[in-house]
Amino acid sequence: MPWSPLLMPPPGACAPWRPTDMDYPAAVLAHFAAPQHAGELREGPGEAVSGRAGELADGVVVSFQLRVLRGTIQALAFRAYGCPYTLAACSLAAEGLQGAPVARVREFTIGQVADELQVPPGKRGALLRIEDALRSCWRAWDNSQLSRSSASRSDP
Amino acid sequence: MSESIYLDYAASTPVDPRVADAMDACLRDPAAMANAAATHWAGRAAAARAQPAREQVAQLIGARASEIVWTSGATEADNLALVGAARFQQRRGRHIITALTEHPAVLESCRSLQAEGFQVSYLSPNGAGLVEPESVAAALRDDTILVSLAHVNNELGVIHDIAAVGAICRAHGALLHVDAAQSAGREAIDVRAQQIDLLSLSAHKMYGPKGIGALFLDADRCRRVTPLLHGGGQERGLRPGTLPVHQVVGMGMAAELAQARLAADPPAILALRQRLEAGLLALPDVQLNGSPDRRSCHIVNVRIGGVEGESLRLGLHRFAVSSGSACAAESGEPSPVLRSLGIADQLALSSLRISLGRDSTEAEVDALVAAVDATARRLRALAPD
Repeated sequence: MPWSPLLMPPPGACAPWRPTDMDYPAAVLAHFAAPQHAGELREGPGEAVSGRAGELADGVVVSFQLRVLRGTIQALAFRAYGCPYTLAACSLAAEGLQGAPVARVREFTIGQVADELQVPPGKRGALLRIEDALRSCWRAWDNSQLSRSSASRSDP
Repeated sequence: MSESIYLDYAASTPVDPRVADAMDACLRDPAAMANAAATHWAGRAAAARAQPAREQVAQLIGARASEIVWTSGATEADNLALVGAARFQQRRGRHIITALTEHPAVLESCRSLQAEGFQVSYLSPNGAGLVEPESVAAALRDDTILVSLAHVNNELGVIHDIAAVGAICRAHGALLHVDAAQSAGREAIDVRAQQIDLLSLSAHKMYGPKGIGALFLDADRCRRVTPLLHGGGQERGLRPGTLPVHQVVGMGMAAELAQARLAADPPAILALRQRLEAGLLALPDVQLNGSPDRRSCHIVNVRIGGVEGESLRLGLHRFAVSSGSACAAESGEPSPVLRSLGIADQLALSSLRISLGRDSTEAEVDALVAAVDATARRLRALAPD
C-alpha cells in the first residue's frame, strides 16, 4: 500500500498544541470537576426553547435549553461532548446567562469566556459551537414569538 | 486509593535496582573510566568491563556477542537497520516492505528512504491488527531487499508470527528486520530459529537505563550496513562514538535479569492483564482494539465509546496510561495504528493503551477499571443524546 498523507502528518509538520492534565488553568479544572447548569432543564414557568450545534465526527457537540419568562432567562441547562475547555466554557457561559435578558443570547460571543478560562488559540475554534447552539436557541425563541404574534393578529 | 498509578510500561519501565547497582559500581570504578576504544591498558580494562554485557544481550536473543552493535536505543537501532541495510544492499534492489502499524522509528526511516528513491510497500493489518505472513509473501518482489515487522506491536500488543515471516524472507532472499523493543524479556526470541537478520532492542523497555539499545546483525546474512554516523571505528565502524560503558553494563544486566525472569514474569503479568480486560470489557461500550488471542502479556488497548478522548484522559489524570505510541503522543492526532484498523477518529482518540509490568498490582488494575467506569459514566451523562 503506498504511503498516504492521511495516515500521518507530513515531515516537519508542526504538532498541534496539546495540553497535559497539568497544563489546564485552575478555572477549567474547577468547571470540569463540577460543571454548572449541566444536564436537563428543570420544569418551571416560562417558555422552553433549545438549540444544538456540532457533529460527533468533529469531536464537539453542544446543546442548550433555555426557559424564558417575560424576556428573561429563568433557567438554562447544557449538554456537551467535547474537550475539557468546551465543557468548562459551556459551564461558565451558562453561569453568565442565568437571569440575563434573552436578547443577550443573540449577541453572545465566546471571546470573554475563552479569555477568562485562558483557552489556548488552538482550542478556541471548538468553542464556536457554543455560540452556534445559543444562536439556535435564540432563533427558536424568536420564531416562537413571531408565531405567537401572527397568531394573535389573525385572531378575530 | 488516590495516589498516582503508573500503567505505561510499554512506554518505559523503572530501572531494576540490580541494574542501577551495576551501573553505579561501573561509574565509580576507576578501572572502567577509560575510552574502551583505546589500545592501552586502561582502554582494554574498560572494554573488558563492557564485553560481558554484549554476551548477556546476545544470550537473550540466541545470538553471538560479536553480532551485537550498541546504539542509543531502539529508535537508532531501527534507523540503522532500515536505512543502513537499504543503502548497503541497494545494488540488489530498492524495494522494502513494512506495515502501517509499525513504530514511527520504522515508518519515518522508510519515508526518508522513499526520498532517496527507494520504494516502500506499507502493508495494511487485518481487523485484528496483525500482518499475516501471507500478506508479506504477496508483497515480495524480485527487487525486495528488506522486510521490517515488529515482533510485538507497541500500541496493540499483538504478536506477529515472526518465524513464518522469517522463513518466507529467507526463501526469497530478502533480509528480515524485527523491532523487538516490546517483546524482549516478555516473549522468547531466537534469531536463528525465527530466521531474523536484524533485530532492534531497547534497554529501558526491559527495566534497564534509557539512552542505550542494541542492533543485532546476523554475521552470515547481514554482516555490514552503511553507518549513519561518521567518526571513529567503534562498533566495527557501524556505530562510531565512545562506548558508554556504564550504560552498556546496565543493559547487559537488564538483559540477564529479563532472561532469568522470562519463565515467571510473563504469566504473572498475563493474569493481571486478563483481570484488567475482564473488568474493562464488562463496562458499557468498551471494546478491545486488536487481536484478543495473539497478544503480548503486558498490553491492553481499548476504545471507549461515547466519550471525548481529552476529557477522558483528564478524568483519568492520576493514571499514567497512553492514548497511543508515547513516541507520537505529542501530535494530538488519532493513532495511525488504530486508523489503519479502520477505527473512526473519535474512537481512536478515546482509546487507551494500558500496559502492565513487574510492579503492577491487582489493586492498581481494579482502581483503573473503577475510574474508567466512573469517568465514562460522568462524561456520557454530560453529552447530548
